Amino acid sequence: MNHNSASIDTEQNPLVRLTHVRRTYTAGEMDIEVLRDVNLTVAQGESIAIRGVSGSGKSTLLNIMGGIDCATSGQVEVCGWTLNGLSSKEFTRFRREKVGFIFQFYNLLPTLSALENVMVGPESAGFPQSKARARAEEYLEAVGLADKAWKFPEQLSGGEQQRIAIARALAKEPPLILADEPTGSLDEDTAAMVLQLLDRLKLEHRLTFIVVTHNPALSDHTDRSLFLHNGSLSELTPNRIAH
Amino acid sequence: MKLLVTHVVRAGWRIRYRLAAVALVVAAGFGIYAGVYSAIDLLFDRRNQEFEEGHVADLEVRFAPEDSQRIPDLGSLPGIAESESRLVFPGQMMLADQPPLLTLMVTIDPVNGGHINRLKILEGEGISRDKPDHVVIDRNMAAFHHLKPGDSIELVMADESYHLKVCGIGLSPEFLLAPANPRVFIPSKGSLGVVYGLPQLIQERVGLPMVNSLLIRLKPGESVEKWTDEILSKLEGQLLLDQVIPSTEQFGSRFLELSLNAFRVCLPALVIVFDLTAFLVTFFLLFQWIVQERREIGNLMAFGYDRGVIGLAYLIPVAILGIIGSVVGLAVALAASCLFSTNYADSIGFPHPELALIPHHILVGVGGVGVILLAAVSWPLIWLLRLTPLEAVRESMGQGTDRLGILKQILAWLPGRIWLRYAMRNLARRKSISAMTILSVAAGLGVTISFFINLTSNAGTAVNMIRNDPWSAILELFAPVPIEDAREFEAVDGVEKAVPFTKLSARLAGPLSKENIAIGGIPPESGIRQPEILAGRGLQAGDQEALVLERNLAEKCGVQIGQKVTIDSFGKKKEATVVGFLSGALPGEAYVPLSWAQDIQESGDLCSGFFLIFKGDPEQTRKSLFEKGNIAQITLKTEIVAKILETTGEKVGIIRLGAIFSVVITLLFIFCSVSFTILQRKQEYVMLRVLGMSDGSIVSTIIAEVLFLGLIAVLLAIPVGYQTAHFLNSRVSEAWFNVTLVAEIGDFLKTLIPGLLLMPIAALGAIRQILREPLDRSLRERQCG
Repeated sequence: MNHNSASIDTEQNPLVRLTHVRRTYTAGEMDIEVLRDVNLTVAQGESIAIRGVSGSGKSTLLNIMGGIDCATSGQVEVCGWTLNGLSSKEFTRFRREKVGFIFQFYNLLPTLSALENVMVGPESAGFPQSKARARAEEYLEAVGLADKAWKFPEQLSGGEQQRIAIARALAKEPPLILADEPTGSLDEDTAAMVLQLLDRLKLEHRLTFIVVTHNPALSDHTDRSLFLHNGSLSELTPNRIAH
Repeated sequence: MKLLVTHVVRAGWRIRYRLAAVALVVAAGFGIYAGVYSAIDLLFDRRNQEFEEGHVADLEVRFAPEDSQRIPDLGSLPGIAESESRLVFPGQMMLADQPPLLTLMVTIDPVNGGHINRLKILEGEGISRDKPDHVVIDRNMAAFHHLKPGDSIELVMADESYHLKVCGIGLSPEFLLAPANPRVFIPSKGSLGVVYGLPQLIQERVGLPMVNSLLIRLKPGESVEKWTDEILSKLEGQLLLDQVIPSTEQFGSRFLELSLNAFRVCLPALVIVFDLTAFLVTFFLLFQWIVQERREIGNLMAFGYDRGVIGLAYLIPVAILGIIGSVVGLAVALAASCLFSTNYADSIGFPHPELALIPHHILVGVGGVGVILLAAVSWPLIWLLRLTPLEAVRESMGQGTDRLGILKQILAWLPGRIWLRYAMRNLARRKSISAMTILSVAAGLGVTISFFINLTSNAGTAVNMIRNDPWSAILELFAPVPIEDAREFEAVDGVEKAVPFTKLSARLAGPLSKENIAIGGIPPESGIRQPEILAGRGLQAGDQEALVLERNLAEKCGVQIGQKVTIDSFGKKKEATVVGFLSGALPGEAYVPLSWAQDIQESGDLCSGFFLIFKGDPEQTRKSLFEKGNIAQITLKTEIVAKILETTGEKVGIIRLGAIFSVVITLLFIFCSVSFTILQRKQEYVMLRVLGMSDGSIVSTIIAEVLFLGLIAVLLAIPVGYQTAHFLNSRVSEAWFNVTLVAEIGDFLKTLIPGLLLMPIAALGAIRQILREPLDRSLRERQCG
């Protein structure tokens, strides 16, 4: 296996396909290469974990797949969209229709209630208000927080806030969920509870799920684990873990 | 310390544009204060300078024309410095396609006279004995009737026609303002011509060296009041006295004093609001800067720098800002002074004052700049320097205040799309900033509204002073005629009714002082004059010796309603009972029954003019009336109303200037407060973009927030403006005539619509920054919420 490309279950129509992706940043007169020749294919319904040390480029990779950042070179195809050279408007439409995000720090809007925070997803995806509300209530129910619909983020615990963030990501029913350290800010018990929730929702909704994390426990909840080191992506084998 | 200062100056340089905005704001605040107050002082200085250079008369005595050889010598009175006599003769200047212009011929002896009320030649040359048909004309007459040296004019005086040549254009301290229409006490440009000629011009036709005006200058320090009595007692019996005018009651001086004092009442409100807003804007910007420097300040404290030294280091760029603000402020002050003074001078036909600033106002302004900057930077600095280094590095300033508080439950039920709910709720997050923004914007817009209302009220009140009267025109005669002549005028086509009146000057001795009054004698049953009665009543049918007095004069003299007073018309005394106080723009205005006025004048049944009620076309009727002889002037009511509105219209320029400053500073304030709050929520907007919210929805969110703020401010500005106008009107009423509050919808809309429409512009900078923010970089910085 080539260390610079992950082993994948080849499918006819993968949901994510990254081909020779590079990402460099310029700092003063220096070019810093964060990702170098990354190749990745993720099939529909597959869940993968991307692990690596701080600064290895995990979040950059996730951002490129989510249409938040652009690759310097290489081909990025996600959910049938080729993300190279899209305009800002097209990127917005892509994110609105195709991707649900879950962040380490929940990133809920403090002035909106739990229900309204969940409604942001479907409403920005163009759902009518009544449908957006029904969908938000359904997903609040799914994450077990229907009774906290009118609570504001500051009135909720960290675990509850992350469950709201998960409901927000799922409520517009996107084909792809991207999660950046979803349990990074939670204690062990709460993190376990959130992982169980994600497992259940993946099964129920047949989600394609890509998560970047430091947490080895998260790998146990995904179909595959990949390791990002010095900007290169590789399949994480038990041997490699031992190494 | 050097390294510390270098760090702070470089930190300041990083936000140089924001700091430049601070410098501009304080410069504007300083400039408006120093400029406007300097302009007022300079206008008064110009008046005083003209009075001094032109040797203005302390006192003028008017009397029936008399041989100049028979004028008593006043040199024996020890308080008198000099005196000279002249002839002031009314006539008409013939104008093409227009009614004849009432014109005063003022004679000047170029050799022995002309020392008092000295004529300054602005263009051409003065009069000389070898050119008897040459005259100098007043600069306002030249300007409004397009006359210049070399032009020929035709003047008709006492049925004699004079063909004269204009040799020069002059300025006399007697006519500093555009000549007045005393009916409404406003400078009405072009309504009166003033021509200066040789005494021989009239002497040749009349045969005698006639004079009817005595100009008197007192020795320095002598009291006008004291010598007025002495002079009158010396002249009484020898001359047929008509009028005594001290320089302080001369129209130009009096109008300037009252009108500028009215501005002095209004302007502090503008300056206070402007400077308060400037302070808040400065506070916001410097507060933002210091908050941004929080981590650096925490680090500096951790490195062991003394807190006082850190504070001092941050004061250095602020001091530089103060210097820049003061220098730019001087330029703003000069521009404001020039704009205000020239605009005002033009509106009343006053000569332009010199372009300068008053040092006292500059010093106060510079002091104000220092205080504003020091106060704005000290608060956040003191707050930060009280923290431990760890707190300064870790804590996010104001984090605890970023809550919805008690409004939360109400806002939770707010209907509408999510972006709209988010926008509305954001207003409640920083309640103090939102409240401060709303109050400042409401105050700025409210004060501007109040100026427009005040102007409308002044014009409306002045117009209403005559609009309620039934007359259509005032006809003034060169020489009195019997009241029966009314029938002759009523026979003219277009005239329905002619009501006689007579005018006389007199003195009223009250318990507190002795004052000059201008009395109008009218038939009490006619109801032809309907002045606003502030206390008591107006004239009624059957009144024999009733007197209705202008309120300020009554207060000055200390007379009460019901009190019997003695009126002294140059030796002829008669009692009258005060029955009411009226509101009048003309100081000393008073009304008595016509028969009472005729008695004191011993003029039998003569009158000096008629109030006319027209039934036909006013212009045509006036033309027909002028065909009769002995008519000095016919003033249409519509003309007076138009003059009032014209004068008001010219002052609108000054108000607009104030309005522009107010709106600009209001926008600047919104810009700062909105930028402050929106940019603090940058991460949240980035998150909304990440979640797929379109740029249009983000823009709508921000604009909705700004407009909602603006809408509340606009609603609040309406009562603020109305109440401020009420206050300003009451202050003007105390100083001048009773101003009734007249507010038109346009007074509100002229300010509120541009203010509301321009508000979103103030958010454009923040919108641009939010939309250009790279998503990935922002997500790395910090979580939102």
